[in-house]
Amino acid sequence: MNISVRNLEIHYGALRAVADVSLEIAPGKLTILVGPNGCGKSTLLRGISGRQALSRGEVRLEDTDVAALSARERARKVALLPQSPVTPEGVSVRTLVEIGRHPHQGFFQRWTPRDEHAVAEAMRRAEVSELADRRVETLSGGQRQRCWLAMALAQETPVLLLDEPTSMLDLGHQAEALDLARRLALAGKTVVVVLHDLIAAARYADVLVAMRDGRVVAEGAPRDVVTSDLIRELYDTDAVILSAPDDGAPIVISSKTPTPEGSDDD
Amino acid sequence: MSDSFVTDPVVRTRFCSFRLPRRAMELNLALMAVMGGVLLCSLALGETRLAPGEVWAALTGAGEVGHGLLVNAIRLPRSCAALTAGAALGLAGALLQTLTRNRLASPEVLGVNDGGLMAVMIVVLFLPSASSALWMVSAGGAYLAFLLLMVFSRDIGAHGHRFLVIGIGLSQLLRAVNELMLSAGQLQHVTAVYVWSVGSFVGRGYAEALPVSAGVLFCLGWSWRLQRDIDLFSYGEATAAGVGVRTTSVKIQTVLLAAVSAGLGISVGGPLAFVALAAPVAYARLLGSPRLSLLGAALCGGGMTLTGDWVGRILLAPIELPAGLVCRTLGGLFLLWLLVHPKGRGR
Repeated sequence: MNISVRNLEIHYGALRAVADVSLEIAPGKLTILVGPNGCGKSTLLRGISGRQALSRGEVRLEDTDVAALSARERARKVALLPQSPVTPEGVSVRTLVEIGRHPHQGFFQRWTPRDEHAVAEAMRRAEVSELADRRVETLSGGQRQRCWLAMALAQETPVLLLDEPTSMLDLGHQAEALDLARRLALAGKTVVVVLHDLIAAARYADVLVAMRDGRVVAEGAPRDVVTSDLIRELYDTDAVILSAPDDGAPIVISSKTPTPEGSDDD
Repeated sequence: MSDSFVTDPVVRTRFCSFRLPRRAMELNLALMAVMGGVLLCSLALGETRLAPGEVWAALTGAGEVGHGLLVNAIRLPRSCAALTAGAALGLAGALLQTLTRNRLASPEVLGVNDGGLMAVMIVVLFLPSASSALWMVSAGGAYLAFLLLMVFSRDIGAHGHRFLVIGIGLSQLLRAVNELMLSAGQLQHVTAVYVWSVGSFVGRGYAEALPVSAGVLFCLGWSWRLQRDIDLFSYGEATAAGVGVRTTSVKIQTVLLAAVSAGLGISVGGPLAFVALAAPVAYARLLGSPRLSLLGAALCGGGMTLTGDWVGRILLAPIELPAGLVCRTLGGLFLLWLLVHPKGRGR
């Protein structure tokens, strides 16, 4: 499902969090949004999800305006995994994943074989099947994050939006989560991920979208857009770009400042 | 105890599919059985003691005229009134706790009870001729207080704690005015108002119980439809919206339903404190799941007031303790026991 973002603006009171963003996001590719803290990437993601009031512009899924969809229709098309979701006390992993089925359940059809299958499949993919009967609050941050990922997968939507899904994962699980995102994209879903980890973003993204101050400053394949100029523009810091020995993906490492603390006089 | 449904039997036909919440159903049946038992006790035991056979005879109209009058015209209507009020209060408490995501929310905390009390006081002290339908007056006062609360907190439930804090402020203000009126009123009126303000079912009957129970049944039916969306609300508004809950609509329905049931709850026997607060928590503890069950809270609330009314009648007989006082005492002890009890404190 193709996403068109046209002249999108989002304000929080007087603050302009997203300023005139236009983007075409294609299915079949993993799109990753990066940028410094507070650049508006999470807000843009929420704007795309249709769960954020827009000040101007529109977001279209194929030919439909996201804002015109009912909450239920939207939940069948777009799954959004928020950055730090709340899990109520005492809820088991299975119950958490099951709430992802809500948009598919009717008043009479509340637990179909399809629901059962989707939940099992989502738990398997996010690797939380063995945790199914544990209470979510007893799990580690990373395990919890995978449970929420499973919840979003159980929604079985063509569009999957993930806000920092790997912020608490160790290296192995981070690789698995991003591999999974990539496989889902390859299988035809439209997957957009917000990441603050530029190295992981550059390694996994098919399309990298870099933002600063609410605007898109670069967009394209990581190999084409990740340059030391871009890093300076985004983060105000000097960096060295290496290339990965296996596939040539850009690796960003910050350059060391030679001046000792306190003697900096520029 | 986990909230897991793995062992729940699944029912699937061409038209519907759902899981039977086995534990909740067992608990509900058990609660109803207990309530039936308490109801029988409250019909049989009091200043005049009746044997079970005599109660049955009275109910079917076969027994002594005096017994028939006692059971059918006094004890049964009064017990029905207590049951109805408690169910409404339990439901109101569960709805308010859902909305504010806070287990301390209840009509008495938010000033709804004081609003009802104030309306009753104004009528009793200043318009004594109009005091025939006090239950409507108190419900009206409760609704006005709720309306004030909504106006002051503007965005419904967007900030649960704001709603709560404004409610606490409002209740203090209303209470101050109430106490001012109490201290200035004539003694005989003040005594009448005092009994009402503690919460008691003396002299209550079908005149209040029938219209109020119709309202409570309507609220229960409505809340049955709402329960699923309310379950999702506990995951936070963003997640609920994310899986397709129309959050604004659900919030408005919850507020309306809470207001209606709170008003109904205090209209029958006065502002019984603690029932609305304790019933949802008690049910959750008995079920061993943190889920807020609207039906369960109504059942627990009804059981609490029914028991409170009966115990108040027999404990220090011939002196009658107001049901409100008994509920507060027994309910407080019960809740403390539930919270401190090591079993059920999770794994």
